Amino acid sequence: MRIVKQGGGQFIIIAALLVAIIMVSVSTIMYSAVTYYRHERWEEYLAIIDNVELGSRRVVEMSLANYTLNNCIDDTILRDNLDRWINDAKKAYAGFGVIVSYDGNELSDDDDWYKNESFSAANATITIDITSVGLRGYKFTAPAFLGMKILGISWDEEEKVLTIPLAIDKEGSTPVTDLEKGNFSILVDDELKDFTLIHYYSETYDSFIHEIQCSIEDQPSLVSVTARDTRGIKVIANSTVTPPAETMHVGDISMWYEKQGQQYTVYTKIPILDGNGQAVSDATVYLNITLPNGSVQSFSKKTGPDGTVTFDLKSKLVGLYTSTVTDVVKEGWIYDSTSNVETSESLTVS
Amino acid sequence: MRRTKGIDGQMRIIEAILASFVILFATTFINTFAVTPSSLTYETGELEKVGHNVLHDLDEQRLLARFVYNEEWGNLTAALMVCLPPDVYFSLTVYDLDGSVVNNMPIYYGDPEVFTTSSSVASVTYIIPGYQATYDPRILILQLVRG
Repeated sequence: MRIVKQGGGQFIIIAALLVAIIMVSVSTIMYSAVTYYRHERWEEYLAIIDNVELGSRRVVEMSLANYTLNNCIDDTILRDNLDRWINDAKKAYAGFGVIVSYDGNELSDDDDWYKNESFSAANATITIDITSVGLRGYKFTAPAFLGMKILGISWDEEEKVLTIPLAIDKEGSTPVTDLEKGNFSILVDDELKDFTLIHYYSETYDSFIHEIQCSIEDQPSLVSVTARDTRGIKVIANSTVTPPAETMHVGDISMWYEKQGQQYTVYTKIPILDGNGQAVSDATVYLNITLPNGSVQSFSKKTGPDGTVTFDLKSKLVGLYTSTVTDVVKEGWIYDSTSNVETSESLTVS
Repeated sequence: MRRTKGIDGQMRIIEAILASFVILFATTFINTFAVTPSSLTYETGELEKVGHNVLHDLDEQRLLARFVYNEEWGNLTAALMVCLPPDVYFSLTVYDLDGSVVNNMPIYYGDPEVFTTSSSVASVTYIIPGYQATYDPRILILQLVRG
C-alpha cells in the first residue's frame, strides 16, 4: 500500500519531466526550423527588390524624357542608362549580389509625332537576381508612354478664337490630368502663340480634356501642340484646321418654253448662291420635273461660271410642268435648303 | 497508518513543487529564444520595414526625387516627420555615387546622440536613379531609432 502511494508521487515528477522534455524538444525543433528564416533578412531583400524595380521603371521613364527632349536623336540613351543602372544598383547594395539585366529595349521615334494622334513610348523587360540568397528571375516589364490626340480642332471666324481639345494619356490608357499651362506650347502656322488652358471631363469624347484656346486673327491652316508631362516626357501632335464649310442655296427659279413643230422644249433655269448672294459655280443640282400626265423625270447638271444651270425637257404634252430642286452638292459646301428663294416652280404649256 | 498518510501528503506537495520548478525552468529556457516585440531583433526589423515603406511611398509619389534633386531638404525632413511615427527618430544622409555627402544641411529628427548611443539603430539603404531627364543616382541612408 505504501509502495503504491510512493509510486504515484514519483509519477508526478516523471510526468513533469516528460512534459518538460517534450516542450524543450518541440521548441528546439521549431527553433532550428525557423532560425534560417529569422536570420535571413527577407524583409530587406523584398525592400531591395521594391527599390530596384521602381528605380528601373524610373530609368526607362527618364531615358524616354531625355530622348524626346532632344527630339528623338540619341536612340542609345535607354540602353546606356540601363547599363549604368545595372552597375549602380549593384554598387548601392554591395554584398547582396544584386544583378539587374534586361532583355530588350525599345524606343518610339519621331515618325510617331506630328500626327493628329501622336505618342512617345519606351519599353524594357528587366530581370532582378539576388545571388546571395539564390533569388533568380524576378522579371517585369517597365513601360513608359505618353500619348496625345487632338480632338475636333476648330476656329471661330467671328470670335477669332482657335479651340484645341486634347486627350492625353499615359501607360495603361490612364488619362493624364495634372498638366498645367507650362506643360504645353502651341505653334500656329509655325508661329508661337499664347493661349489659355482649361480642363474638363467631356461626355462627348468620354475623356478628360485639356482644352487650349488662343486668339487668331486669320484662318489658320496648321497647328502643332507640344506637351511635356510631369516626368519630362514630350510628345508633339499636329492638326490641319479645316475652314468652316460655306453654305449655298437656290435662288429665283425661272421657267419658259419654246415650240418647235409639234414638240415643246421646257426650260428651267436655276441659280445657286452662297451666303453672301454670290454665284456658286461647279455645284451639282438635282432636279425633278413633273409632266402634265403626272410622270416625273430626273436630271442633274453642274452650274457654270455664272452660278446658274439650265435644264431642258422636250415633250409633246401641254399642261402644267413643275420643276423641283431635290438636292445641291459641292465638296466642302453645305446645301442650306431653308435659305432657298424658291425650291420649285411651275409653268403651263398651252 | 495515520502517520504514514501524513508523510505521503508532504511528499506529494514537495513532488508537485519540484515538478513546477521543472516546467518553469523549461518555459524560461524556451523564452530565451523567442523573438518578441520587445526584443532588439524584432525592433530593428520593424523600423527597417517602416523606413523602407516611407521612402518607397515618397518615391512612388515622385516626391523623393524632387526633394533630393531640387535640394528641398526642409521639405524632405517635414515629409519624413509626417510619414514616420512620432516616437521614431531619424537621420537621413544623401550620397552621390562617389560616396560624397550631398545634403549640405542635416536631415534629422530627435536627439542626434541617440543614433550613436542606442543599441538598436535600424538602417535603410535606398537608391534613386535620377530626376526628370537626367540619370544621376543618389544613395540615401536612413537611420531610425525609437525615441
